[in-house]
Amino acid sequence: MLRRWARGLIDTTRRRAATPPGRLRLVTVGLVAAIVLLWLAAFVSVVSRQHAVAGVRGTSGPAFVAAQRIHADLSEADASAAGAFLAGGVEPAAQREAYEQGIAAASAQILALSRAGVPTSTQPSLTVLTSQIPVYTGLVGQARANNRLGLAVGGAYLRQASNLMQTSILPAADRLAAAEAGRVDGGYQDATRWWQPALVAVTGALALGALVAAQVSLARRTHRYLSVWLAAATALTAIVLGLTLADLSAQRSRLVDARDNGFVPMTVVAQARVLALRAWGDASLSLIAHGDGADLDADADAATARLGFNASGVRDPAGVLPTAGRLGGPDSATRTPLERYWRAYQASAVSTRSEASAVGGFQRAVQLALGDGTTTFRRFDDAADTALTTSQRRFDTSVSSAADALTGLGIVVSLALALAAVGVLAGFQPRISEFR
Amino acid sequence: MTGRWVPSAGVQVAAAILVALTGFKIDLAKEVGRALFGADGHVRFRAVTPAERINVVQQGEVDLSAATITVTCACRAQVDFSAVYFQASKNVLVLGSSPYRELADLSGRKACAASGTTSLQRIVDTPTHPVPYPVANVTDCLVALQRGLVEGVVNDNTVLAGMAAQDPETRIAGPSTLDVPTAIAVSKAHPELTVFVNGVLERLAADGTWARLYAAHGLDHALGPAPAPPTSSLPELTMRDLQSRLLGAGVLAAGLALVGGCATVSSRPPAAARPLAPLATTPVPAVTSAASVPGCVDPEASWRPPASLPAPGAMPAGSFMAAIVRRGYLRVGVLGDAPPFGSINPRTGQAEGFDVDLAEAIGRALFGSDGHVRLRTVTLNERVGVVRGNDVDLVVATMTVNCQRRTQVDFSAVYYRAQQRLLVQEGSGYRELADLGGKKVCAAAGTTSLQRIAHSESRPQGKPRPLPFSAPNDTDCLVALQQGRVDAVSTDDSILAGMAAQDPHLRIIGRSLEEEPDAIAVSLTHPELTRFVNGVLAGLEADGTWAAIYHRWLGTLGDVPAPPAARYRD
Repeated sequence: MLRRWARGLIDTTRRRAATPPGRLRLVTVGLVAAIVLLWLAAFVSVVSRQHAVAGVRGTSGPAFVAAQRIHADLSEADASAAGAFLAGGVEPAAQREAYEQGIAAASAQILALSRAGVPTSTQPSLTVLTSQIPVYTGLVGQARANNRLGLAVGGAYLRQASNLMQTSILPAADRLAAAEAGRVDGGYQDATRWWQPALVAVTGALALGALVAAQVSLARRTHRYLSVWLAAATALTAIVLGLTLADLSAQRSRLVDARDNGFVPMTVVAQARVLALRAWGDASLSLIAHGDGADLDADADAATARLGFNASGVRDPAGVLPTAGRLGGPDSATRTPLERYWRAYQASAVSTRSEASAVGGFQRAVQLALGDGTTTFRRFDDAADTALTTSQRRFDTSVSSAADALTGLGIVVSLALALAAVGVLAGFQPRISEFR
Repeated sequence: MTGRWVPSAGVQVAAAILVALTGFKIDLAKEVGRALFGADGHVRFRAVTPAERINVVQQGEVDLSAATITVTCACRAQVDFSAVYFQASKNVLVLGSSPYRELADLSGRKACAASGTTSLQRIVDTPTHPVPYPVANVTDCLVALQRGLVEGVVNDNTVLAGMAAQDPETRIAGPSTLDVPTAIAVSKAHPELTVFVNGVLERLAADGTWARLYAAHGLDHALGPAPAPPTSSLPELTMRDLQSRLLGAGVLAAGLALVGGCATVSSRPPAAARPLAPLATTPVPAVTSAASVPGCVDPEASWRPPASLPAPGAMPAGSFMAAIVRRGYLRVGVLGDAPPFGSINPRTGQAEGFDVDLAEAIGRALFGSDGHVRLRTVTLNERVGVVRGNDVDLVVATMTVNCQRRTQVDFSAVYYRAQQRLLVQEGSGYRELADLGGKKVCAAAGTTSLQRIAHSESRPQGKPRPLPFSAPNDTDCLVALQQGRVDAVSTDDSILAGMAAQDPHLRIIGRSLEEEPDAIAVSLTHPELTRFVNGVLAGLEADGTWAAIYHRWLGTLGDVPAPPAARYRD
């Protein structure tokens, strides 16, 4: 069946090619086909990229940012709860407020995430968050009430709450963020497939080459040197080719900009902030545990080591904070002070710890942690929050501008190539008619 | 000589200060010089770091760079390469005692390499995520390995062989892949020099000089017998070949640039953004068994106090008490969360309780006034350690005397005889430990109470034993009871009374499971302090202070009993 059809097509072509007007008609069909191929390549590339960028901009990007926010907000709440508890039965208003804001912000983000819909694979993590955060706040509430009454059991409640946060809630937030990061990565790859511009370039070169060759051969045979229609069709095809390649390239470079100046700093700074909050919370809990803080101290040291400083303050260039400081880009000024602020806090934390294990130094250690320790940490945390927000905003605007690069391109390409096809038909029709 | 590049005075060669292969490379460079000038002594060397070995060629500071440069596409964009003169393997140098077999085993560990090298890239690219540790020079890596800053050093096996020769404690790990081509870098401006160098390398391979140099520099000892030189497969390179190759390379580079400009973009979070594993808790060591200790007849028997206590502030010269008085304060370990014996008052932030009052009384006997006692909160589990480690002078922390502990610390006379009992929810129906068969009973880890639950024999035939449930601290048991995760808490009745005072819905039940004699722990090295403390305790019990302290903290348990009778072993 197919073979018979193909043979019929070949026969028809041979018959047509036997006469000059038939040959011209065949050339016309070929040129229009080349233009259609270019249109297909350009249109499919543009539409699929638009779709992928819209996914990153509207779904996976905001979801990733939200997942990171959830992690940071919950860490903030946990560390603030410990800091407030340390102050005694009457909690400092600022710390209490930080705790409540952290929980409220995280809950709002979770609600937004679940409304936006997360992939089924991450549903269990979201369930852990929604089911365990109320348990956590309940435990913190019990810890506070006992602490207010001066009952020693309050500290044990707070330890349990923090343990729940660190071992099940925050890892769930981590899994959520990792899954969303995977979706962002997928969106990025879909939005920048290398073969799309290559296909556009190849089909465009074919169409342009065919148009030029047809005009040259037409000029040689008929000695009519310029057809306005054909020239216009060539110009339109060239413009479409150039415009499409330029826009695809602009869209790609904006996505690269969003990644290098937004996504990467955002992930690194968010991790730095989470690690710092963990070290700070551990330090408070260690004091609350009245000396039973060996595990917590070790955990704080591990978090600090990941940040890039060992227990005696020696800098490790592979750590998170030195890495954040090395990232260049337009917002690097927001990240440079982080390392300095952290060092200030760490100095205070080291002296707090040595006071706490000194005989009779416990009270002084608590005072130091509540005073200098809290002040220096807040300065770091505020700076980290600013850096995080800045890079999140940069990511958002760059992805948006990448999406803008392709706006309307599909329509322009379709209209221009339709006109080019009309130009080809109109340019050859007079030559074909001459044979009648 | 054909071409534009004319040797004038000598050929400048960059050689990195690398610990191995240096001699090999330098001899190769000398052979090139000999081929150019027909005589020795026309080669000048310059030392470079790995990071600058490419730049010096690019900027024309040297003519050749023979600094174990791995041939990569990225480097090819900057300089030209001669034929490969050595096929190395990327291996990892580790301590001989370590278990690592290859780079992939160093997951999460630090691995060292010089910055700007393919070795560093290899670490980053390893899927198990070793942590890269960049340094300026390759030798810095050996120092870092010796100082324990890193777990491994990644480099070509040739370089590692030199390091291993300097430190017999190290060994080279990883398979011999021979997939790292090493070549001499030449400026792109002088393709004819590349051709010439290649010709020399080919001749060296053919006439056996390559193999001779290989053996002469001991590489056969470190890496095994000389392999076939890689240059032997070098095709004849003529000037025309070279030009067509250069043209091809140019077209290829243009194509690569075009493709690179539209390569698919990936956006994986960087390694620094990986989350840290959650808090790890160290397991509490198993309770010391109650097995009898030879020679221990009566664990409660302590050292007899002196006939008359020295006056406050006038301790016998040379005694530990005199040292304490000279220091100005007595260091005491107390519990921080075990009311009514020792707890931090959340309002004042100060420790208070029965144990704290005893410690203050001992301080008064030493110094004659208040304010000379410095307290440190300790956990149940670290009570023995802080005395043995001389972090504190005394531990007054409801410590039960037994033979096992007596081998580690000395004990004063018994100051309180606690009864191990049970705390349950009001209305739960439990009256005895026997009622709790198969139920969870909580006690703090590392205490004798937990041990007794685990070995409970007071049960009717056929009924299961109670299940011991260990928590880090006594208060964690209270939380577990309040949350219904356990059915009972078992510890000293005095501490149970403190818990019951925090929650009106709890009841202390059952007869005493065991009498727990509590005493003050003192270091074994200071028997004179133990005697002094015993004297103070006897005085407190005689003058009614003990009864007052009891009444203040344990009044809820009922009338003040007679103080425990002291027993002495001498």
